[in-house]
Amino acid sequence: MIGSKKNQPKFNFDKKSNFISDFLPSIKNEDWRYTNLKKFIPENTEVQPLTGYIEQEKLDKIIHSNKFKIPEKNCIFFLNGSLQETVSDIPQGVLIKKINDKTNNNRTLYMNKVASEFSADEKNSYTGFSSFLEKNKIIELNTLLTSSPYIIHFDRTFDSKNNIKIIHGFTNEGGWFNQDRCLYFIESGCEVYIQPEVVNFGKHDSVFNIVSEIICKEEANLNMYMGQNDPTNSSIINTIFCAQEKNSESNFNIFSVNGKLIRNNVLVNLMNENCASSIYGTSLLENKEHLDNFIVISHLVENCKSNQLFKSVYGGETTGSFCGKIYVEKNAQQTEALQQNNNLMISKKASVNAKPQLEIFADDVVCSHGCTIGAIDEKSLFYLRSRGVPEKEAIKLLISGFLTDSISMIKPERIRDEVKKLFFKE
Amino acid sequence: MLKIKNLKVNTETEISILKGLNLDVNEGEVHAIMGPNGSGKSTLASVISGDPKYVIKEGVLEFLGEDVSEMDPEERAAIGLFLSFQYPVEIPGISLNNFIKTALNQKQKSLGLEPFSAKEILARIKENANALKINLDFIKRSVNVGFSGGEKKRAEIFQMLMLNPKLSILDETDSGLDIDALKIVASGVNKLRSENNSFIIITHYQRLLDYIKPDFVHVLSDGKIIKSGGPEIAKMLEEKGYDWI
Repeated sequence: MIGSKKNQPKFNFDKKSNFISDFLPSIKNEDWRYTNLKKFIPENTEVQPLTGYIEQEKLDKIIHSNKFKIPEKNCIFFLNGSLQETVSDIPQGVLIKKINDKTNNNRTLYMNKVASEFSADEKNSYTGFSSFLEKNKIIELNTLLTSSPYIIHFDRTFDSKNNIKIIHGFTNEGGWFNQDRCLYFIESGCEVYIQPEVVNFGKHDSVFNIVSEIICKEEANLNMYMGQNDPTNSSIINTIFCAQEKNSESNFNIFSVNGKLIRNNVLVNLMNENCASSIYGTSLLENKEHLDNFIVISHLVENCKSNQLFKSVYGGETTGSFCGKIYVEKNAQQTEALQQNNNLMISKKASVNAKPQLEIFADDVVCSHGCTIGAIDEKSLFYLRSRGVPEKEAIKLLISGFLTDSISMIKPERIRDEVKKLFFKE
Repeated sequence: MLKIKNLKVNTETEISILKGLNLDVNEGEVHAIMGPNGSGKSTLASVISGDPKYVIKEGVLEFLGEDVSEMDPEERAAIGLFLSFQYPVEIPGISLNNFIKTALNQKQKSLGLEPFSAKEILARIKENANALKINLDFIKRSVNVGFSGGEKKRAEIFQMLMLNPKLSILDETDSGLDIDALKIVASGVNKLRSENNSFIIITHYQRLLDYIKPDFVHVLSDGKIIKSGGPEIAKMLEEKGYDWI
């Protein structure tokens, strides 16, 4: 489908309003303490909603571009926020449609309404994200500028052997600050493997503000793999809201290797019993990138498990931040929540700030957090060199060993191999 | 093969450890070095292998007629030096299998030789693992991570056999081993022992020397070799202690 010019969304966002001071967080906001977004966005930036419209000729160019090969199988391709059906290959069990929610007041998520559509009598509590939304108007900006986002619906006829690539492509013509929004609805008992990716087809670098909402129904099993490897030096703000129903499981794997700024907000609400969520982050940054992983896992009921494992290697003049929060509600007894963050610094000019946080109101829980920041171990290096491995190779070997933990968490072998290539170019 | 003359070595913090040490090791010889704790045995082993923690202040360190004192550890390994560590380092995330393959082929590369084929390497792995009674599953584990003391030492000897060095230095490889493990380690050394391969064996106990018969025994004390002789020295030390010298 090619968006038509006629259907341009009506939008009354005042271009003259200063979106920088109105919508971008300052470092005084604790959630953004180590990432000054204003440094990455020029002051005179104009924002406008994407129309999704693209001329056929330009679309053809993108399809046949050498920059990025659009997968032929199991691929959902969005360009400038608009689904391109002719380029996509949507497998059995996946339904994509637009959410037309006129009642949305910009400050809430779409998931609240969508969830109630599917199960009318459900007492849902998708509101657990409200404190984050209040402090992060950048989500509101996304809602304002993407008036009718897509819902990607997975049902039980979906074959879990397929992993689906979701491409958020942009040509950067609509402006310098790009938005995209979608909602994943994973039906009960459904097992899915999703690989979202942001691709810049434009000529200049850009900032991409991508918001994904996820609803995992009972016994759903969601696996999401996000590779962040933008060679055009663009910035990405990637926000995920995941709400989980009884017996559901979610696994998020984030791989960051390239990009001017990478900010990942991953917020998970474990809303019903026996939910499990794991969030793994692996990064190897060697130039001037800035990476900020911001994680909040909320245990709202008893008997849920969560696990965070973030392994980062910082080289060159890179900077990083990790903030991982585990929140355990008063009645969420028997919670098991683990968190680990290890940082390996391979350059004297690199730096990282780590902020593990536990907020526990229940008294019968197992929670842990651990954080390390260190350099390459001299003893290990000498050990490898004494066996004939040259220093440069030995450092590479130690880095790959360091990152193995989190990469080995990828269940499907085909994706694991893909990721290993991304990191080690083997 | 190895020629050390008046070697004086300090730590990075300028503490003097080796204070004028002399040692000559020829092809096919096995030298045992004994001595009290803190006398400089491990430092000697590290310095020969090129540990950057130590600074050579004075003296000669030659291997195969070449001055190696300023060579990188990997260069020394390439021309045939091997150190079995007293405390083998744990390397998470890298399997012993992968590591030994990398080490072998890096060595080939620096010698300007073709890399071994996967088949050749596998055959060598199997042969050497068999000789040391090592299970092939063991080789898939991360280097030294979660290994018992005995397993660590066995893994060191396994790597030694794989790399086939000209001079192997065994730094207290026997410490903490039970009799069976000791025999296996000794059999590994004896497997490699030939008229071309030499060994320096650092030990506290005469027991190991029952299984690996040394040609020479040296006593190192306060950074110098103070006594050299045949295997009888080790026996005397076992009976009478270091005060005897």
